[in-house]
Order: sequence, then C-alpha cells, then structure tokens
Amino acid sequence: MIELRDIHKSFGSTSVLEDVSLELPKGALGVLLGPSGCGKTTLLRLVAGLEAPDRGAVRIGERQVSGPGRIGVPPEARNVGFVFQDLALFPQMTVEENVGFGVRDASARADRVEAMLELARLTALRSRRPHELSGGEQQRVAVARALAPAPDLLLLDEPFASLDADLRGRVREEIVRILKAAGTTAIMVTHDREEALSIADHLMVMISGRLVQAGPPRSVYDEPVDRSVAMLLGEGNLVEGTVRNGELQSALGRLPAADRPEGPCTLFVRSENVCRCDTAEVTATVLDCAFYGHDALALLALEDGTRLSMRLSDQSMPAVGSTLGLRIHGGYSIFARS
Amino acid sequence: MVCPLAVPCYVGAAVYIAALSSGGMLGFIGSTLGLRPGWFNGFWASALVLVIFTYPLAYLPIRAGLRRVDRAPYEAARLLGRSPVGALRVGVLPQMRSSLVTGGLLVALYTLGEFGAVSMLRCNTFTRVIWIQYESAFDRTGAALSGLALAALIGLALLLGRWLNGPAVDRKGGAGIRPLRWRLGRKRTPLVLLLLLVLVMGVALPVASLLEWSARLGSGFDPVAVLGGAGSNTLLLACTAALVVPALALPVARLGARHRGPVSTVIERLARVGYGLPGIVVGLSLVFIGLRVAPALYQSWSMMIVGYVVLFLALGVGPVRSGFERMSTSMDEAARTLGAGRMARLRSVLLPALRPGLLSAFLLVFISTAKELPCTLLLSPAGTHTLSTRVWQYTDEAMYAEASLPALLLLLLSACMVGILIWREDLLERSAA
Repeated sequence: MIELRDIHKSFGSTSVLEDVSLELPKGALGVLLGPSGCGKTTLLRLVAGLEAPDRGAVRIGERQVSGPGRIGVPPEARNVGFVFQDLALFPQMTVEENVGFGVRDASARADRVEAMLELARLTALRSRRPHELSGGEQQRVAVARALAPAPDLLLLDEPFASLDADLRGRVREEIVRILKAAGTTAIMVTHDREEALSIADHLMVMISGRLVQAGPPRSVYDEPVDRSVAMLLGEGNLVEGTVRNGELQSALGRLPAADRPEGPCTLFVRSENVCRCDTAEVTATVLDCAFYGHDALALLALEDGTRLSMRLSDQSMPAVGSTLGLRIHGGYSIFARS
Repeated sequence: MVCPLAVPCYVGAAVYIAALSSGGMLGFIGSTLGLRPGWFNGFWASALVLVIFTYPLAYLPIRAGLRRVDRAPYEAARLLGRSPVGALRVGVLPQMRSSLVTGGLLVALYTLGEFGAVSMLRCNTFTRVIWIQYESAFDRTGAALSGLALAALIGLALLLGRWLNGPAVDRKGGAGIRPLRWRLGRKRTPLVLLLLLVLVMGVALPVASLLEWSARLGSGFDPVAVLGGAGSNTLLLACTAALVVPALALPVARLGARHRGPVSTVIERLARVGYGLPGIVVGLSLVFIGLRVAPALYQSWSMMIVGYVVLFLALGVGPVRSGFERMSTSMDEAARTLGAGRMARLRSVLLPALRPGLLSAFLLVFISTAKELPCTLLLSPAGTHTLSTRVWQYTDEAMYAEASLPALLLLLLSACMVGILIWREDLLERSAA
C-alpha cells in the first residue's frame, strides 16, 4: 500500500504540485490521468525519490520514505521500480543482463531472471541487445527489469507513448497481464483517457498540479466532479440551464434535478447519452455527420442555436439538414455555473 | 578520401621537394621544362601542397553535412517552379551552410598556423618569419610581435566564421532524413578519375617517393641509431599527451555537458582557442614563460606536455563531451531505482557511455602529437629528437634519403591510428543504427 500526504512541489517560482494526497491499496493498479504538463510525471518522480517534495510525506508499505524531519530515502534504497518514458535500457547489456541488473542477491539472480523472462515472454530474446528488439519487446524488457528486484511498488511513466496506436493496445494488455501476474502495486501515468479507463483499478485525475478526483474508473466517468474532469474523460456537451423546483430547464427540455441548488447551472451530457426519439418534444437540425467505422458522430443545432454532438452507434446516418427528435438516455451531470 | 589526412603537411612538402629535385622520381619535370634546380618553392608550391594535404579537413564536415541534407526543400522548390540550380540554391545550400563554413574555417585556421610545409617551401608567412626571427636573428621581441599579429588574424578568422555561420538552426536528426541522391550517368568516369588523381597526389605519390628515396640510403647510415631514439621519443611523448589530455578533458567535458553556465562556456572556449592557436605561437610563449617564470621547466619534457595540452585539449573535450551528452539522465536514474550505488552506476552507466569518446580522444591526441612540429621544435631539450624534428632537419639539409625513413615511420604510425579511428567510427555508427 502507498500513501501520499499533502505533497507540495515547485520548481523555482512555478508551483507544480499543490496539496496532493492519495492512497492506493496493495496489488492495485492506479492510473494518473491528466493533460501534459499537469505535474503527473513529477509526482511519480517524487515517489521514486528522484525528486524531493517541498512539503508532505510519502509512505510505501510500512516505511516512511520522505516526510518531515528531512526524511529522504534515496531512490536506490526505496525498492521502487520505475519504467521510464524513454525506457532507458542499458544499450551495452543483453536482455538478460538488463533484467538481472537490479537483483542484488547473486545466488538468486539466475532463477529470478529466468522467472521474469518467462513472465514477459522474453526467453527467446535473452541474448539480444536493446537495439535489436522491436518497440514492444523493449517495453517488455523495461517492465521485466523493473519487476526483477521484486519492488514494493512499480511506477510507469507514459510507458506506451512511443508506440504506434496499433501496437499500443496489444503491448498494454501484455504489460497489464504481467503486472497482475506479479501482483505488484503499480502507478501508471498517462494522458490517454481510453488507456486510463480501460486498465485502471483506481483512476486519479490530475489537472494543473492538483488531484481533482479519484476512484474506480466507472464512477469517475459517470460522476465527474466538475466540467474539466468531465471533458477530460470523453466527448460531451455543455448546455446552459437553470434549476428550479427540483427540475433542470434547458434547451434539452426538463430533466429531474433533485437535491441540486436552485439557480443557473451547466448541464453535461455525454455524446452517447443523446439519443434519437421521434416522439420527443426537443428537436434539432443535423449540421454535419462524421463516420468513424464503429460509430458516427453527428453535429446538431438545437432550436435556440445551441450546438450538440450525438454519437450514433447504429448504422443509421441522418441526412444533413434533416430534423430529429432528441431525448437524454442514461446519465448526465449538473455543475454549478462558474 | 580521408587518407591524405594521415600525411603531415611538412612530410608532404618534403616529399614533393625531394621528388621534384633533380635526383627525384619526378625530377624529369624540372629538367624537360628547363627549370633551375629548387624551382619548386614559394607561394604556389605551398598552396598546392596545402590543398593536397588539408582538403580532408574540409571534406569530413562537408560530407557529414551532405548526408544530413533533406530532399524535401529541394523538391518543394522544383515543384514551385525553380530550375535545378535555383532549387539547389534555395533548398540545399542553406542546409549545407554550417558544414561549409566549418570546413572552410578548419582549413583556414590550419593554414594560418601551418609552419613546416611553408618553411620548407620558403614561402614567407607569419609562422616562417617568427621562426627565422627567433632562431637566426634571435629577435624575441620581433617574434613575439609577429606571433601576436598572427593570433589576432586567427581571432578575426574565428569571428568571420561565426558571422558566416549565422544563427543556429534546429535541424531534424538522423532517422527522419530522406537524402537527396542523383545518378551520375555518363559523368561517372571522369569524376572517378578526378578522385583517383587526388588520391595519387595525396597518398600514392608520397609513399612511392619515400620508398624510392629510402632504397637509395647508403650503407653508412645506421637507421636504428638515428631513428630508434627519435621513434621511442615520439611514442613516449604521444602516449603521455594522449593520456594526460583526455584525463584533463573529463572534468571540462562534464562541466560543459551537465552544468551549462558562464564558467563552463569560458573554459570550453579557452580550450578551443588553444586549438586554434598555431603551434609556433604556443611554443614561443611557453619558451618565454619557461625562461621568465620556471627556468627549471625550460626545455623539459613536462613543458612539451604542457604545450600539447594547450594545443590539443579541445580535441579531447569534443568526443568526451558527446559521450556525456549521449548518456541520458534517465539511464542513471534507472540504475538508481534498481538499487545501484555510486560505483555500480559508474561501471554500468558512465563508463560504457564514455568509452568510445575516451578512445577517440586518445587516438586524436596521439596522432596530433606525433605529427606536431613547431611546438616540438621549440620546446624539445637540446639533442632530443622526435620523428617530426628528424624529417624537418634532414629535409632542411637536403638529405632526402635520410629524411624518408622517419617520414615513413611517421606515416605508418598515423595511418594505423587513423585506421583505428575510421574503423571505430564505423562501429559506432553501426551500433547506433
């Protein structure tokens, strides 16, 4: 288990992390999602001991590794694995030597390396050097090398960023399989929302140096705390409205809004929750329609001119200029207007 | 095409003087044209010899530059209606600019400081005048003034180079480049012949002429007695310099690569200025310093090493620094997170990254020291000879047969080193690809 308390960090006068606290249970895969430059890599480096926090405490398992009283365990004594964005494999060493590098106990090294090579399906490539491997194979070596010393925690810094979209999905599945098989607690940083949603046990959303929301991916997706988290996690629409008598009134008609404060607010509806319904009161004109193969995305204009995007998962493509009836199906969120 | 680089200019000059003298291989040229003996000297002779033996200095950067030319700008210019020549001017020349300037600057700096060849060919340049003033007239003030003037000229050349180079442009790195290639077609044969001519003049002719002269050595000449000492002196000096310079280059390179700032910039620039200074100027100033400040060091081996350090520190800093730069910081951090302590990181991260750089620093300094003439001539203890001073001395006395042996030895030595360097470079490129 890992725990961060009130971490602050700034470089010069720019504050990179503000008041970040998080917890992750043993064996879980936590994913830090955020736009580039939001401080997620810095957070990872703090946990590894490659940077020191200005304030706050880091606890890995039962051990306090940084905290008040100038506690600062150096990275080589933390027993934390790190997979770097550029992988940082040792070019002069073979796959086997790379994987064995971090195993201190010489008598156990051969067995451990063997187990790791098998786990990462690298046995056939054991005597190759990094430049003789494909991108995905290098990835697996980097993960196997980081796992070989049996770290208490594994940190992965955008490990798939350098791979083609095509290869990415497969390598990702493979890495997640390796992590689960090893039972290691891990934190991975990414700016790819589909990646984050699909593999995380625990999703943490970071925006501008703050940890804005954390929880199981499904609940963060369905119940975002504010519009920036909502927009970060997927396609959606923001529509201005007003709450009155427990009902939200907007260009999309009336929606139940019990327990919401009265007054002006913003309604957030994901594109896939906007549905065609020919009997509905709300109508819209089709402005454009883009076909994506597995689905299509239509751009609509409501009667008052508000733009709206709608995902069409069936194969029906409405003609541009036609008029549709709409209703909201499934979830939506209401945010106080800022 | 880089082979002539292994021939020191003064050896080249000595070869051409000997070959064109009345008894030499090419002596018939002078006699059929009815020229006086010793006609091959002066400005044009020096120019020819310097062109033949210094062109690799420009060739290397320009070749590297050509390899980095991306064809996209050229093709874009053609599609926008430019003629082939116009497209070259717009799309290729700007990409070549910095390598052209670098090549030109290297040759210019070398020529300004060149001493041996121009002296043997009796062409009055600053370096020859300094030497005559110092050695014959023993006019130290005059020599010092000429030295200052020469240094100023070199400073001017450096400034000009900077100005011509223009602001630094960020260029695409190796992998993304699609090179511009042309078929030579019918022009192939004449071009190959031209290249062959260059190689003949720069390599085949010198070697043949040296072999021919050495075959004429009388039995009265004992090569071991004369060359043994000079050879071992050269080896010893070159090895010492090639060990001391990289050792001193390590901290400078580390400072430059890891802690950019005014201090590191000044130190690196100082090293480069030392490399730009002519050997004769450095030698002379060390003679003055030796006489004034440390008479005990005057005409000692340690003073010679100091001279080589001043001259060649930049040669050591370059490759070592690129080693530091190749080593990503994440590599060191990766080793740390895997539990490696200071020593383990030194062994597994730092040394492998630096080894090629240290090796090429060693080789470069070794070759340069073995070839170096003016500084060696000025600083060597009385009676101590190296291969280079032997070549100089015998050629000066028109003893071409005797000069051929140390020259051949020197050629052999630097050919070996240049060979290793080229081979290693290949190795490096292959492992990086």
